[in-house]
Amino acid sequence: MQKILQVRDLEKMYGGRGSVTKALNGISFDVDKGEYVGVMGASGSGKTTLLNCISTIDDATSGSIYIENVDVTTLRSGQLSDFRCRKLGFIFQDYNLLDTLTAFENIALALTIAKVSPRDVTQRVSAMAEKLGIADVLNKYPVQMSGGQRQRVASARAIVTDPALVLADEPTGALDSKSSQALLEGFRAMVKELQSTILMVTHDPFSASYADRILFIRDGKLFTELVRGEDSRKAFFDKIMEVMAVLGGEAA
Amino acid sequence: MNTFTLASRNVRKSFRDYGIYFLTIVIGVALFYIFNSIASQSVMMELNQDTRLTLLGISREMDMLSGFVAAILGFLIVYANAFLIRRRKKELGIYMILGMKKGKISAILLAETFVVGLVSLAVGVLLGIFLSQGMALITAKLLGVSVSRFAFVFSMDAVRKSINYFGIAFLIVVLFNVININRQKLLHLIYAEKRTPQFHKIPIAVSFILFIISAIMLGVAYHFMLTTGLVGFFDETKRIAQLISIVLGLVGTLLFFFSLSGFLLRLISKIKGVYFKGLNMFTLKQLGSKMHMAFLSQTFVCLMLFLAISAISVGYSMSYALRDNLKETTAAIAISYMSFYIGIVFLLTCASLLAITQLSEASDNKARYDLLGKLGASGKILSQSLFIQIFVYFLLPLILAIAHSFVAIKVMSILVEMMGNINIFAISLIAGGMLVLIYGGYFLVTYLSARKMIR
Repeated sequence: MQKILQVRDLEKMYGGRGSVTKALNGISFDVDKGEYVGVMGASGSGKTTLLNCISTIDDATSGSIYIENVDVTTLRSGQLSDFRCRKLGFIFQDYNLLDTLTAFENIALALTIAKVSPRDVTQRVSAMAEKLGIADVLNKYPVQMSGGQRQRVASARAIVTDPALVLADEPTGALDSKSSQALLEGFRAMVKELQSTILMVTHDPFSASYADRILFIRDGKLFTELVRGEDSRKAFFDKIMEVMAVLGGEAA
Repeated sequence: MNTFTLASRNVRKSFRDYGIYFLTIVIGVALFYIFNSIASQSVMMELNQDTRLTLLGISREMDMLSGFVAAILGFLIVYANAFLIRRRKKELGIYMILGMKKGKISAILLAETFVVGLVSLAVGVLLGIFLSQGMALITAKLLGVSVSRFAFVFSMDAVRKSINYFGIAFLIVVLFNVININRQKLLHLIYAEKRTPQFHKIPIAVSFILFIISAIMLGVAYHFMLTTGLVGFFDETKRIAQLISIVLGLVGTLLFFFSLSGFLLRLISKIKGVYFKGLNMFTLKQLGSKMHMAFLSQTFVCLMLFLAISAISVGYSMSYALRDNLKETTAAIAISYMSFYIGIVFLLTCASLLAITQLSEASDNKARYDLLGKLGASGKILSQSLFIQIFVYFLLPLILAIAHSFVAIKVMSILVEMMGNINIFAISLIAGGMLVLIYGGYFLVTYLSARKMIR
């Protein structure tokens, strides 16, 4: 199995002189191609820092992060933005769509930033919208859409460039339970049918139960790992709840 | 924290973001001082009775103009303040949530205005005093008198006048703020930032027709002006033609800016090769979402620029004609100073209005640029997008203003040429140079500060 992401001994320290906080304390793990991995942990456990380091928005103090065998910690800032738009897709909690652009334009933007030929843009956006069931909202502006539709548009924007890795930060955080479920099923479909690789940070066990594997983080270290295997989603959900109980009361 | 610490901290922050506006006030005060201190510049010069009277004459003309100039700069101060306060609604709301009384908030704003007013007046007058030494040398040269000795030029009268006029402007600001604060509801202050974006509601075809109409109106206005001229102003029919062309020119300008973004931007968005390239889509939508609301300010800036360009070119050529051909030194100097004074103040005012709106626009859009950065847009193409946006805002009113000025100068040239053989268009190059220097400088500073904001 091809390894998309390899994190090795990653450390991230904040502050300096006297008051150093270790947000990440030597964490290592791998993610395979076509895998859907959840990252869980309490607030302050370091999961957001981890996501920021992998997404090259924040730089690690030490250790390495290989994405398709490229160590992103060694890239210069000029190369980073190029790397981000070609290799990574982002899905944020509050959608982060541009409210002056239509759904179509929001999705197309990811392609134009990646310097895809203008001739191919329309066709690729339409094809992606078809797959995610948002073809009918393409001409609407974000304010005219429901939360679920917005997040599906954001998902389309994240995967339309065919990135190596999709990074999702609490993607269901602002959605009602019905829309959450629809989105998470959409993620499963992305993994199964489009061979996307997803790394999703969440504190919600329900969202996490859709993943293939969960990494639990505590104090900047890998606490434990849970693989779904042949379990039903419900059974996996119960296992997640058990680990969270061990992790501590306010583990989520 | 007491009122003054809070106020001075706020002033420092807005100074960092809107430094160019405060600089404009300082320059405005300095100009005001310089042109009001002309009478006292005589201390350096060797004057006989005639030249003394000449100088007093020029000084009187400047005096009359100063009320008008103060009104323009006062408008800038009051407008900019209203604009900056509107942007701080959330901050004021937080003060209120923390239990601060409206009276106390008013006191903070009063202290801020006081600090800003005091500092800009002091710096402006000091700068004015410094520059008026050089101005005295120029005046002496224009009057053809020798400078007898270097004497320090200082005019208490000009200082007093600067303080009075600008004091009134800042007083209006204070009044405005107190009334504004007392009318505000907490809810609206807290949710002030939630703005729903506006989209084009006018169909592209309608925009296009309006644009054509505006072009026709401007064409007719130009034609009337050029054929009628200003010579027969006392002729009834000619005067009607002139009035019609002025009204057509005004309405046409307004309609031009109202319709332009509606069809031009959407026309470009139909060209996929351009639209789907880099951040063009984002840039065009940024322009489009604001332009059709900004048509009033664009019209205002265009007309101010037009007046500035015409005032400087026409004023200068008239003063040349008067001095060289008619030997009317007093009138010549007075006219060239007046046109310079008015021209510069107009230029400064409209350039700093554009600067303030563009800077606040950039800081409003910071989140959008952050997002684009996360999506992989490099700092270089983000800066490019910002550059294009600010450039278009500065350029559009300028283009139309140059067209207007061309017609105005052409018309005035007939008048000026009657006074002597003067090539008014050559002299307009002076206006052009000044324009490039000031307007271009403001554009550059605005772009650089905005870029710093979004980084």
